[in-house]
Amino acid sequence: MENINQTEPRSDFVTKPKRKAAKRKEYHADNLNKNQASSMEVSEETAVTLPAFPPVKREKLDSAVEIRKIAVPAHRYSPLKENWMKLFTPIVEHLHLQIRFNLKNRQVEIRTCKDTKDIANVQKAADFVKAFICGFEVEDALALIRLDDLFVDSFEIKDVKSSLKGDHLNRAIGRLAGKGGRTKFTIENVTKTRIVLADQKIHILGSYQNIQIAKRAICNLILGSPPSKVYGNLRAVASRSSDRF
Amino acid sequence: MAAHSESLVDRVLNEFTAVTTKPESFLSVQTATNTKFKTITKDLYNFVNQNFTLQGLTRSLPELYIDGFDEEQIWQQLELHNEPCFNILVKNVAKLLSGNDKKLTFYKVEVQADEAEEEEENVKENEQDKDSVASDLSFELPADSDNDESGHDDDSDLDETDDLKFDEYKMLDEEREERPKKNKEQSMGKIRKTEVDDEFFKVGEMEKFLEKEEAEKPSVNDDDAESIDYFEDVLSDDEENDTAIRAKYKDFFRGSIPAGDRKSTSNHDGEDLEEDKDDDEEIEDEEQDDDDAEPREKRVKFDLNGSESEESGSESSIRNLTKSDVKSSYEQRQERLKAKIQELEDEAVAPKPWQLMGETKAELRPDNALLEEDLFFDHTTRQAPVITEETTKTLEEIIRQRIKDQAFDDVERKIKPVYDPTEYKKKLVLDQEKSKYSLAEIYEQEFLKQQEIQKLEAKSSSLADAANDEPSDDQNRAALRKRMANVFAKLDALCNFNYTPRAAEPDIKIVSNMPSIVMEEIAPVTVSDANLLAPQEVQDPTRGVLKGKTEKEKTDLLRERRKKKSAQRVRHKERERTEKAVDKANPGLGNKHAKARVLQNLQKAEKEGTVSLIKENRMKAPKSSTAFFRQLQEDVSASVDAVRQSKQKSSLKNKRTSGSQFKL
Repeated sequence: MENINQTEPRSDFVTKPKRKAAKRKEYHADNLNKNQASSMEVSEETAVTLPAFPPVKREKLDSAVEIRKIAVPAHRYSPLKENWMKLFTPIVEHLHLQIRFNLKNRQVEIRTCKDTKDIANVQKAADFVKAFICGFEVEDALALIRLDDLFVDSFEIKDVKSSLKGDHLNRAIGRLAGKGGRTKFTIENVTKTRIVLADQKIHILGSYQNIQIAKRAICNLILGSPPSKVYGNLRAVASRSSDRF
Repeated sequence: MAAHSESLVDRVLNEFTAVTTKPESFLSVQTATNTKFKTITKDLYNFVNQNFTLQGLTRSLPELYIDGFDEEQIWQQLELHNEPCFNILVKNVAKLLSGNDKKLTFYKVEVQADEAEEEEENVKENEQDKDSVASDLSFELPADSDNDESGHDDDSDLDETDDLKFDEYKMLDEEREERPKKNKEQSMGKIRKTEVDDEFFKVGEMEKFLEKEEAEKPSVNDDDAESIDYFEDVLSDDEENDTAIRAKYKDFFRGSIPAGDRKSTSNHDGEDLEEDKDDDEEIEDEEQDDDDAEPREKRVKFDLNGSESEESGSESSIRNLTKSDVKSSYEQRQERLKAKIQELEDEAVAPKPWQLMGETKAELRPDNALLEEDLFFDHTTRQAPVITEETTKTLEEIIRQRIKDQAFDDVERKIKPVYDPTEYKKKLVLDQEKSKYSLAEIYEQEFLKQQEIQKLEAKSSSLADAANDEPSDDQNRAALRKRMANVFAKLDALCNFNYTPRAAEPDIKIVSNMPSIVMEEIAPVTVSDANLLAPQEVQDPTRGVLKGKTEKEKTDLLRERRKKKSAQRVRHKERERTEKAVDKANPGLGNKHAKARVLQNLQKAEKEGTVSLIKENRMKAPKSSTAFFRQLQEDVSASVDAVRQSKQKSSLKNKRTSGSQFKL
């Protein structure tokens, strides 16, 4: 690869360091020219542009700072604002990380610092924030920081049964929720998990075993079993799992 | 005197009635009537005392004193008079009744006089009633007893009361015939009054009638003793003698039955009685009398109206007899038979009464006839219990007893027993509400619970605490316990662990993970050569050709010899080495190898002859005194020698081998 950073040597003029966006465009253009030059018989493939990943700067490679960035969708913007302190406090105090919300990008950024004792905390914090962004409450997501073994599992209703469309789909969602959210709460209470029903997406937070149990129950509901039957199976499985622990 | 008494009595009566018309006035004290009563009694008393004095009354007062006297005192005065009076009167009456010579009959000749006397008697009786009630009752007893006595004395064989009475009357009759007519009170028309008289029966009347009958003396003897009336009810043995059962109203009273029937029935009964009487053997003297008297008695009819109808009746009967319309016994029997036949025929022919007609409607029955009938049918329903006082009493008793015993019939709550333990499992409640705790909190609670359990386990496993319930939060206590444990451990060590139990050593148990059949089975399950040792494991493989004993050559033999010798040498060297090492550690005769070596040398020496061992005779007890003393001397000398030797320390001098040196 050509070194783009190397400017062409000119006598008097000192090249101004280019802005990133400009650099990227240049890079693109260069690539295109190159491709065109190399192979004339180019098909429509060349129309598909490759993603532009400029090579990483050395400083960034050398530095020991870990950064995580989590994008925030619009509908979670105001809840984030409301719960910012609650999010902020455990990350900074307990995990000793640096956190900021990039307003321009609408991204939450987490970074290690000198005080950070464990580098794994970054990932924990990132998971924590991501769980909040998915839709879980701060207290529930906090469990991710405190316990190692908790995960968040997300899937769509279409993954389970793709033939559901329109009203059937709506009914399936309704079945999942139950009247006043009863069914969802029942599953949550029995399996010690937290479930977020975001229209067609389903997120489950909990330990691995419990996620599996909850997932099975939810899938059965999507596939059409009545809630009473699902409860029965849940009860049997839950009692067994509780005995085990 | 009579008139005077009469007027007095009238006056007294009038006054009495006047005072007692309104008994309700006596609710309050009436002093006026009180004085009236007193005056009345005083008058009566005075009158009686003056006119009817009895012999023997000495203590009674001449007159009743009422002025200034209390009621009690007046009563006492009266009692003073009455008590002896009563006794005397009783005695008199008894005398009169019992006396056989005297005749005690009242005749109704002079009505007025009699009435007066009656009145007197009545007055006396009343007076006595007024004064003392008890005397009236007891008055009757002697009379009854007298009558009975008279009856009993004469005829003791017959027990029946009726028969008794008849005999009594008969006896009285006889007596009357025998005794002469005595005093003024006797008269033909007067009917004697006795105490047994009542509405239906009067002794006097009966006697009168008997007399009349006797006078007539009908010659007709109705029946032979042997005739048997076929229509008569056959009496059982028990009832034969009891004529009271067969006695009927008709036998005694006229008026309800027409004359013809009466006679027939009376004849019936008369026969029966005759038969009964014939059975008695003891009374043969009186049989004739009986035969005469009883049919007549049975034909006795006591008239309530008066004596006139009796007289007329008797006259009419006399007239009938004289007309010689007297039928023979056969005729009479036939008549009776015919009457009965007629009766029966009428009955048979007549329409049956409604009771025997089967199903009868109300129209066929008279009104309310069923109410009088005793119907017989099954009650299908249970009768309601009749609640009487007794039933309520018993119920209340039961209730009271139950309350005392506290034995109530309370309903006990029934609990369904749980047989299946899985039923408990099903009770896992599905909480349908949003959980109050967040996920983090739930896990936190679980974690804390587990910690507590672990803590409990840790506490329970510690042996230092006697009471595990003590809070172990106290750090001072923990430190103290630690130091105590330290001290105790040191003490135990000092006593060589005599007072401590043995430390629990872990038992090492080798468990081979094989099927138990292999371990438990005695007989070998499978017999195979695989378990056996291979020949090369038993013995090293011999190199070269195997040769038998006779086949071996000299070289072979020598080779074997050399092998053997080399092996021996190796062994010996090993042994020497170990012995040397041991000798270094325990020099002298401290180790067993050295000892063994020495013994071996000794034995060798003995064999060669350089050493002679003393035979141990010390164990044997010396049998004789010389032997004993010899031994003793030897011991002493040996010990002395030993001591001297040790003192002198001259080993060179004592190179002489003596037996004492070799004493082991």
